[in-house]
Amino acid sequence: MYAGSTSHSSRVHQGVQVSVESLHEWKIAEIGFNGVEKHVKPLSFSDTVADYARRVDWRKIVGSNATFDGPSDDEDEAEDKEHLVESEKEQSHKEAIADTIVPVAGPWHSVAKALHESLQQINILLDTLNIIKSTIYLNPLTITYHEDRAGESHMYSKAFYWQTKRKALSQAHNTFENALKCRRKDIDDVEKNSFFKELKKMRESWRIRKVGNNIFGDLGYRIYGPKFDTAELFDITRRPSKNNEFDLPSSSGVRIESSPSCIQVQVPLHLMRRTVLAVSIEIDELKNGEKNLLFERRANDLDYTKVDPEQSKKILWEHALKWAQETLVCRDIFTILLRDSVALKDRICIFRDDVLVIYLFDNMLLKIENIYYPFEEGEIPEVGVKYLNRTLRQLFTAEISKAPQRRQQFVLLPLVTTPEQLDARGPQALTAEEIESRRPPQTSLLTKLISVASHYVLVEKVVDVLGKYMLEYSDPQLSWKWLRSSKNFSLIFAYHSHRNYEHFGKNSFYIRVRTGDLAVLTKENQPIDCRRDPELLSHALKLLACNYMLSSVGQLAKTLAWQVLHAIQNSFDEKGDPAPTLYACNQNATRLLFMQFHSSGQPPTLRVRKFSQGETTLSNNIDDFTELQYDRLVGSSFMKKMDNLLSLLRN
Amino acid sequence: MGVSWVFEVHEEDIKMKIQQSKGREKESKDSAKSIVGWVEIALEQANAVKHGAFKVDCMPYRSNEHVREHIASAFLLHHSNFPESSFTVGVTPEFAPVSRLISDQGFDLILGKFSSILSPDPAGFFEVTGAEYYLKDFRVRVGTAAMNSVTKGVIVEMEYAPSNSPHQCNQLMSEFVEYFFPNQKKPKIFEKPQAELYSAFDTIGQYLEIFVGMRRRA
Repeated sequence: MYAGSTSHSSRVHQGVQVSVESLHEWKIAEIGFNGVEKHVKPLSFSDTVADYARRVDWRKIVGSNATFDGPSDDEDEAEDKEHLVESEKEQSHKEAIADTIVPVAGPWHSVAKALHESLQQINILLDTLNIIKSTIYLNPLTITYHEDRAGESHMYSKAFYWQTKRKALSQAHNTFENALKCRRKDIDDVEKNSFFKELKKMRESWRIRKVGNNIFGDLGYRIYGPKFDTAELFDITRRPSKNNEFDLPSSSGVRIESSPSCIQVQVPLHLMRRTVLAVSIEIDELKNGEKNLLFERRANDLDYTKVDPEQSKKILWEHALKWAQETLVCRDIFTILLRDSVALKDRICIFRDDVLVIYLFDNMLLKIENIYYPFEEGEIPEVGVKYLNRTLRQLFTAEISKAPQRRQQFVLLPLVTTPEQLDARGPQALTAEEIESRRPPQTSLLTKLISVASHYVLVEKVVDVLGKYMLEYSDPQLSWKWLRSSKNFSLIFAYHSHRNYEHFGKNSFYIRVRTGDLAVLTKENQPIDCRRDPELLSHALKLLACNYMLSSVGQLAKTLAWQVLHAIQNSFDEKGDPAPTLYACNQNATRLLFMQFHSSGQPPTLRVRKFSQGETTLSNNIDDFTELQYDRLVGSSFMKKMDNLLSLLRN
Repeated sequence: MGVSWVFEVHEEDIKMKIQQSKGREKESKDSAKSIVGWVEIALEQANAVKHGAFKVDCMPYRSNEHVREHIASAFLLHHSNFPESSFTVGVTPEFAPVSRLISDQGFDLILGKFSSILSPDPAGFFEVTGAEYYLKDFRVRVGTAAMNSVTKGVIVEMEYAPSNSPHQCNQLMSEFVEYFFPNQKKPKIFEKPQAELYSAFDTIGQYLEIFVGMRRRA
């Protein structure tokens, strides 16, 4: 190994044999008693990298807010678990510091914040008290004593009182300041809001449309048919807020605002008038020297023609629209009536200057007039017969409210105008005559109005006659009541009775009033036609009274043992008027009584005859009869008089 | 709707009447026209008032060959006195009940849709056109019957409007018809039991019978 022997003289000396060994050996962790050495394994490459990585300040490099990149799909589950553990730690940390963070609570945030602060203060106070109570580390010290010093306390309390009051007032002052600030902001919006509020209110009753920047409404009243006709539109504009015409100065000179309207309307000029459609009944008679007042012009009749569009804008829209629509309706009704009157062939109709006069019957005329008033506030008089005005309006409304076509039901059928009873005319093989008879006839508005007006006139006449009759003739007593009263037909139930002699029964009858005639219907179903003459009705009532008196006297005579020889309802007097007669004889045949009841309303004629002894034949010589004066008979009523007379002459 | 008696008028029926008239024996080529003329004159002499025109038509519908075993033929009739109705009568063997239908005129259009089963037979189309007269409670319709524009005869329909019970107006109608057209045979409607009422189909049935008879003669 080392420099060797001299014997080798042939080999040249090359070098030194060297062996290289590392000085680093694995560190010895432990030497066992058996001489075995346990070495500390040195770090592998990945371990070294991990060690160095731990020493790097990553946060500085990445930045405070950035987050590390999310885990990739290939990450190990161990890393997931690490993250979960970390997030849980964060959450618990957050919960721990939750009480210290002020919560955000929307509009109530300031209130919540104040409450939160006060809660914190109270917590601090509570903690302090707890410490004072349970530990010795804190001792409370007295600051002041509560002493009741009379004078000083009074002074003290007064100052305190003033202070507190001032503070309260300043707080109130602040609140009001805030309120005023908000109100000032609102007032600017109030005008705009009130305009829309009023417009909404208007929309509840009127049809309104907006085209571009213009708002306009419809004065038309039709439910079916075209709407928004150009001639019936009104414009809606916003009333300017300054120079408000409604500001009235009070006595002290301060302006008081009465409730102004934000909307002003402009109605069409031809509807800018107030109209009343008056229906009245006139009597066609012209006394000497009198003017014909049918077509008379009233004083100030043409005032309505002075139309000022600007003036009308000042009128409240509710009134303006109502009046304009009323004018439109009255005009349309009048036009329809005019058109119907031209088509009416069997009646005379005269039209002049917004007045239509139609011949009803006898000397009665129906007058329909359009009366115009200026477009201003104020009361207008009611003209004409109220009942007929309303009936005309009701007839017109019923016509326009009728759907021209039958409403479609859930099965879609074509829109039809025929009535329902004609639906099955095909399958039921209805003949042409039957189809015609089932189709209801079209009556015009004027025809309906004429029938209603005629009926109304006749009813007035009947009531008048009955009233006069009851005043003039109280014996037998007439009582009546309405059985039926409608637009075209009325029925009255009436009866005669004797006061205090009700056991003799009543005589009842009916008075029927139609559109063109009157009739009295007796119990025997016999109609007494009175046409349209109140005189005939009065005569019929008197005749029925006579018949009733005849039958009552007959019954009375029988009860008093008189013999009724004849009781004739069909006899006549000298003038030819019906005059029922009664001829009775007492039981002993000593007295004859002859009675005649006059249908002209005069008291009955009474004649008495005495039988002389020895007389065998009965002579009807009028000279033998003594006429009694009815008025001088004893008794307050007819039956009383008869009772007394018959009792007196009984034997 | 009243009770109707429909019958065909032949020249022999009114030859007596023609001869009894004021000697006008005009031999017209168109005998149907002359019959109608004489009937109208007779009615007008009895103070009947002309009310308008009337028309009755009948279109036979034949079932197509491939369904002939299953579906019978039918006749579709219209009468101007029933302006909104169509009458359909089925052709059935003699003792089988007759199938009949009264419907709205829209049924004509529906029948048109069945062209694959039922097709109209224009060769057998019958039409009666003429005038209608009102004589108190009676309605008299007299018209010329033509099959495919060829005149076949004259048909008269006498209707007593107020009643719809054939049993009740049997005597009255016989007298009335006897006055104008003696020796007419009464139709089967008067053989109905008392309670049975007259219906539109009875009129249509009478017309159909006459049309079928006319077609057979042709």
